[in-house]
Amino acid sequence: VTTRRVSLAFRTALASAAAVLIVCLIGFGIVYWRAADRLDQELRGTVERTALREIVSYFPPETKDVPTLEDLIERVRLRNAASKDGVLLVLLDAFGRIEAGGMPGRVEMLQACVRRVVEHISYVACGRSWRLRNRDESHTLVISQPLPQATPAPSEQAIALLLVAIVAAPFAGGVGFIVSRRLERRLARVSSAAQSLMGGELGQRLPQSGTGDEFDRLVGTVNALLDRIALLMRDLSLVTDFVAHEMRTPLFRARQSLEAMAADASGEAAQRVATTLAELDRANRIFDAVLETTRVEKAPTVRIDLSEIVEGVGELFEGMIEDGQTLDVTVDPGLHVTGNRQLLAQAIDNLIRNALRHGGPGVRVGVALKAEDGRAVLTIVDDGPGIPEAERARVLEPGLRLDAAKAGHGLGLTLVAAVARRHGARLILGDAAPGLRVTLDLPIA
Amino acid sequence: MRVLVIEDDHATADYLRKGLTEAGHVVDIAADGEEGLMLARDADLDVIVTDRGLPGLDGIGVLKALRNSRRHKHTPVLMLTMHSSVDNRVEGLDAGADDYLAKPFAFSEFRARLDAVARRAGRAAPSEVLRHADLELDPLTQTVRRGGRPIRLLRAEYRLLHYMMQRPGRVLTRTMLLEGIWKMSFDTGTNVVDVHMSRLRRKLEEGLADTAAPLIRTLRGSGYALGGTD
Repeated sequence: VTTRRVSLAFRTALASAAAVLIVCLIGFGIVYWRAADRLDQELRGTVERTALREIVSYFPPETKDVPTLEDLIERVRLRNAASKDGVLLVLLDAFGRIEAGGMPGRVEMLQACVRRVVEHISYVACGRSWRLRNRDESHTLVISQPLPQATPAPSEQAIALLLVAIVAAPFAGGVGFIVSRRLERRLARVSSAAQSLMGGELGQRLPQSGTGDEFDRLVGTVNALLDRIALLMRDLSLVTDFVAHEMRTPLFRARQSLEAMAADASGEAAQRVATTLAELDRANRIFDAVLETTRVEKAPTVRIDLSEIVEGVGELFEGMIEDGQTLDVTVDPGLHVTGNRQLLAQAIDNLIRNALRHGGPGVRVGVALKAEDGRAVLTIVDDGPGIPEAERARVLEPGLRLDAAKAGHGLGLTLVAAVARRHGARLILGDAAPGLRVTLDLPIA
Repeated sequence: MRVLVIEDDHATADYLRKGLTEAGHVVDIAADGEEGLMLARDADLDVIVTDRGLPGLDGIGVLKALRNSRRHKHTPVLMLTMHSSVDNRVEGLDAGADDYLAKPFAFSEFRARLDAVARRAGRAAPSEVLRHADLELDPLTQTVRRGGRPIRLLRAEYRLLHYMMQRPGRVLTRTMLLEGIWKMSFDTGTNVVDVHMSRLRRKLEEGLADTAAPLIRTLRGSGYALGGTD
């Protein structure tokens, strides 16, 4: 339970921190990317303007100053040879053939600016066409200039976001941790209340925090459900009490009449009356056994000597066993527990009886009561066939097993399990290899 | 004996009256708690039988009132109940009932218990050597002899004999023995008392002529008695 509890709060904290971190990093990315993009746009604009200005500088506005083809070729060569800034010119004739110069990538007769990437370097290429002084057809001059890499320094907003991530993530983690710890504590309170409910404290209700939140409403609904169950159980208890009372009266009157008849009857009639009386008593015993099992939960408990009870039950079996069976009873004296004498005696009686009955002829049964770690531990071991592991849980299932009552065996292990629950005892069915080992232990009082 | 029966069910009241009258007792019947207390006020009673579930003042209330009165502070009371569950029994005994009997019961069981509560007083001291005819039981050494010959008994057999020797001539039913000796009031569903009793009797009668009257008598349908007559 502890590891799960820690990990829920821890996981919530981690998830909160991670969520904040991711949001901040995405924000940082967007801001940074937009800054880089804007910088790139500005750079490109600047580069384009410089390129255009340079091109225009080769063709002065006055017609008399327009260069001849040869002049221009010479200037292109000089410019390209002296280029330190990566700026290259190319001069094309009217058919797009290169007259002079060159540039990275494809050469074409541009009339505006384009952007190109050649071998991972961005270029801006701009072109213009003019008619030269000594030529009829127009020529095109194209300038290519590499674009500086746009790596902007992170902006203040981006840095702020990173700082937020660094500060906010642990903070969010802490808040997540605290909130989930509180939730956990509430769950733990509800869980422990539910546990004591299952332990038979049926009056218990799950605690509400009083805030009226969803969780409180859920707890309220569960409590309402428990109230409803309590009501149904009370009704059931009233009905069984009523039936018990109303059934016993006619059964008793019938018994009275039969007894009177038995006094007067003789011969075969007397025999028949006696048989009927026995049947009536059997019906009553089954009736009692079923009703008692439903009442185990409410049986009163006091401090009693368990050693004496085990010895008493063992004593009664002494001399009763047959067919080469043996019963060995070892009891540490004076072990007291808080319990109900009748129920405990009946449970022990049932356990020994089961061991003898299912063990068959020649079975050796050992009963031992010992003090271990502040608990009175009763073990009943036999070397009979035992119970297959898969069936052990089933035979201890809570609830009535009416087939067992019908068979007239009392309620056997079902009753033992109910008695164990009433006493807060641990009941374990184990393997004695061969045979069955039943351990019933309860706190020493 | 003079017996007061407080019982609201007429059929049961008649049944008890008839049985007790036949057994030679004087019986008063009251149909509810108030009437019962009124009848008890000026009467010298040997034993009082009261139902637990009475209309108005219930059996527990009657019992408390009786125990607070001077006349019936120590009068034996046998309580009858419709419930056989252990909690009711404890409550009844705590309130001061001398015994408790769950309905439905056999009249023989009722009679045996009534006799037992009526004669509760005057028991031998725990360490006193008990004798019955030629039978001798020493509680200190836990030895049993018959005509001087030691008899080896199992624990359960010894306890049965000890209990019966403390109550000679008394009819003791199987449930009375289980409750009195082992404090078990649940139905074991077996003939455990019968088995131990027959073994005990075999050991007691061993080596004696078949014609000799047995020390322990079996009363068909009701129980056992050490000596005595019907």
